[in-house]
Amino acid sequence: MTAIDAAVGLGRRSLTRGRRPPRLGLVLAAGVLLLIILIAVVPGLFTDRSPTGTASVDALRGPSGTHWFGTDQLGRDVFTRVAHGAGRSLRLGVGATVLGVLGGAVLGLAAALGGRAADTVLMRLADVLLALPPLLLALLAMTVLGNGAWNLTLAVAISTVPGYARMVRAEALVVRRSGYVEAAVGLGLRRWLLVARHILPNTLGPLLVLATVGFGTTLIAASSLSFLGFGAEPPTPEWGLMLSEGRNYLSTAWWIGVFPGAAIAVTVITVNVVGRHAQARYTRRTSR
Amino acid sequence: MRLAKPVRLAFAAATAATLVLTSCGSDSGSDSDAGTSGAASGKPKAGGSLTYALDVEPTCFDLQVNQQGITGDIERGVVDSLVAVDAKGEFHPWLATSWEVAADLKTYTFKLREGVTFTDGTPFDAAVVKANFDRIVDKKTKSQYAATLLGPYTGADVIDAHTVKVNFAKPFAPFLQATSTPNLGFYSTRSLSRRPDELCAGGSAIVGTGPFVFSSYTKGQNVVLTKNPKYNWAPQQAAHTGAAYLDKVTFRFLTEDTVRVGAVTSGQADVATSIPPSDIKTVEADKGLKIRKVEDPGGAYNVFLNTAHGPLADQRVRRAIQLGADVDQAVKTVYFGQYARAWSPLTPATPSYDKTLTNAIAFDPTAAGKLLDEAGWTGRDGQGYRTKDGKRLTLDWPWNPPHTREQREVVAQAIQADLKKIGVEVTRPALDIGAYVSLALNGKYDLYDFSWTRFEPDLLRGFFNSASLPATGGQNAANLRDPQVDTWTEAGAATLDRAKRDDVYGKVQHKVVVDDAVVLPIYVPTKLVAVATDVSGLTVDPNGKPLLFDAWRS
Repeated sequence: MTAIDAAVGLGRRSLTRGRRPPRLGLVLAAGVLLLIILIAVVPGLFTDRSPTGTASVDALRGPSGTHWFGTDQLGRDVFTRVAHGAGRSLRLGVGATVLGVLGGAVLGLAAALGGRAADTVLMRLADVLLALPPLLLALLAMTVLGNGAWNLTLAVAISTVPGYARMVRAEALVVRRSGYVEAAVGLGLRRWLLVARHILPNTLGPLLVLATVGFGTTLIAASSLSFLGFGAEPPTPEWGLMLSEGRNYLSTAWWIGVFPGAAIAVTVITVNVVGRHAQARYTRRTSR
Repeated sequence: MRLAKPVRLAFAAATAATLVLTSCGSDSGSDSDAGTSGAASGKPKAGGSLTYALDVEPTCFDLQVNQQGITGDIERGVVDSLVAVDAKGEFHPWLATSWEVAADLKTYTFKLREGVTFTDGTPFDAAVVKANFDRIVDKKTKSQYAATLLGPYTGADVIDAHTVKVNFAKPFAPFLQATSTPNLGFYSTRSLSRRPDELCAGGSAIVGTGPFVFSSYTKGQNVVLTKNPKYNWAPQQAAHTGAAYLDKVTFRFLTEDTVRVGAVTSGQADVATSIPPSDIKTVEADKGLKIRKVEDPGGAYNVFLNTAHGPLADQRVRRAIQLGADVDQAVKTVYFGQYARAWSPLTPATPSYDKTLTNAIAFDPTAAGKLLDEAGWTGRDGQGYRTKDGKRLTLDWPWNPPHTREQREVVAQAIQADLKKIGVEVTRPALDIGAYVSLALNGKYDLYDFSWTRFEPDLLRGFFNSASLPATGGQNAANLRDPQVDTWTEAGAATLDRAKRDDVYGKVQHKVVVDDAVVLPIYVPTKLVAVATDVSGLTVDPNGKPLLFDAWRS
């Protein structure tokens, strides 16, 4: 219910502003996303089984009324594991995005306001890092940092920092050179006040929009690293890890791998739909 | 022995890796006695080719260096051995027509077959035998396995062109069996003069006397062997004489299980090794395929309990671990009943296997709990794990994901879940290969697992003798120091008397499983090979190596 209310609310606001009515896809996406977040926060609401409780006799049962998503190779309930894995997987995605945005903001501002030398060094460094595919960069970071959920979050964050830094620098430069900021500086505004009052608020909008869209990519990168075994240890329920464990059973028990995979796909798609919508609205607002 | 990707490291590390890497192993490759039961019948005919899908790609093709079982699987058709071994453990002439073993087991004299030539045209003689053995033990070769097969080798004497005497510093009974393995097969003098990296890279640098010629190797793709038309020195047990039937054998490297199964069911491959037990039904349903099942000789898939680290120093805790996990059920579930539960550190196909151990450590969580209580692990913490003096009963069982095969990580999860029920926490830190290799040296683990293929109970000396500790390059992962086990394993290595060997090796198996409780045998490694019905005569030797010589297409 919450999901639908929220979706409707979102739609109504658009209408009152005289925009196009919300697309059905957006309403659906927002609803599903809220449901996923709810599952992630309180998985116990949806299942009372244990995500690590094995029952060998029930191994490899297909989806049914008792086991919605079937059971895995050790008889664990796949739905329970997907539900309990939601929190851990989303935390990886959100954590990496937040860290990436923060790192990007700091470096971007430093490049924009720190003078020519800082700008050149930081941006050339960003060029080098952007030349590498983000996943490769994350793998490199994993190799240096070692395995584990926290290191994985950090590695994925590092791989996204150059992109955000670029964006923040560009926005900051635009604001910095606008007439009213020049005037404010001329009147003796301190640098930190300049950042706090003018540059940050003006950069925040596009940064948040970009982060929403980037979250999908981040979640995929985090799941990929988990799939490769860099993240949580088995038997921890985590989507990427479960997908990896299910791949050996694809021909005999498709549900072990397909449901965690679908969970990743659905989350990424819904976040992207919502993120794109936010981006479109933001662009319309600023271009007016 | 079976193992996966060896890592090129310094020599010291490399010997330590012998222990480590076995756990990852891949024996892959082989086949079964299709000759007797092949659906295709009739008279063998020459010609045709065979595509053989393997699950592991060797990191080096030099049999004298690499310890991966897969290298021997591929090159069994390229090199010949001095003797051939049969399923009863009897030895038969091959490149040696006869041999004499000194009473003290310190010298072996071989009469070599005359008229044998390498495929580069050079003759096979006593000097080549000596050159091969000398290169294997040369420290510069950095042999990770073949050198251990030569044990206390001190040198070879060329008596005449076709007589060679091999000398050892100590009595060395396992030598005849060792000479039957491909790792002590022979490369030509020209081959031996190649640079180490050229031999490692395979292809035409590797020249043997075998029924097939190593034609090419394409990294990530395949190995191609072609027929040696001049071959005429097959061992007596072979079904025919003269050259091999097949013109060409292509080994393809298909490491993903689903891809390999797909290749053989779609007819892109004629043979595929390591069929996952979960796919057996699919393959069996295919009328064009038959499944060959062969239990490996050698070490079972064992979990070793480290007596030199943490809570497992207490025998009662080790015993509790043996009794607290329902290994039967785990093996049955994970392997769909295809693999047998192991009861001894050796598999039933190994000489001197102790049958009486069956059910010696049956699942009994109540008894396990009692033992843990006795050992003082009586407290419980918030998560239900046992504690003693405020410390949780935690066991570290490190693993290296890329080198873990046969769903062993799933078995581990089942054991982990069972032990949790009796209040024991098992953690499974995933280590990269470097950290995993150094475990052997620093001993920072509680549980350690591997399997090892070889048709020889002398393996027990490597597994449990106190002279074979991992820190010194051995495989005694439990760090067991039991004087009786030492005496028995050394007695076994110093005699060829079957009854005496059965006696001492039987005692060793009983002692390490029941009294010392240092090993938890899990399953009997089993080759599940899918073979197209129009392939006949493919067999596997007692060392677990596929024999392509008699194979033919109908």
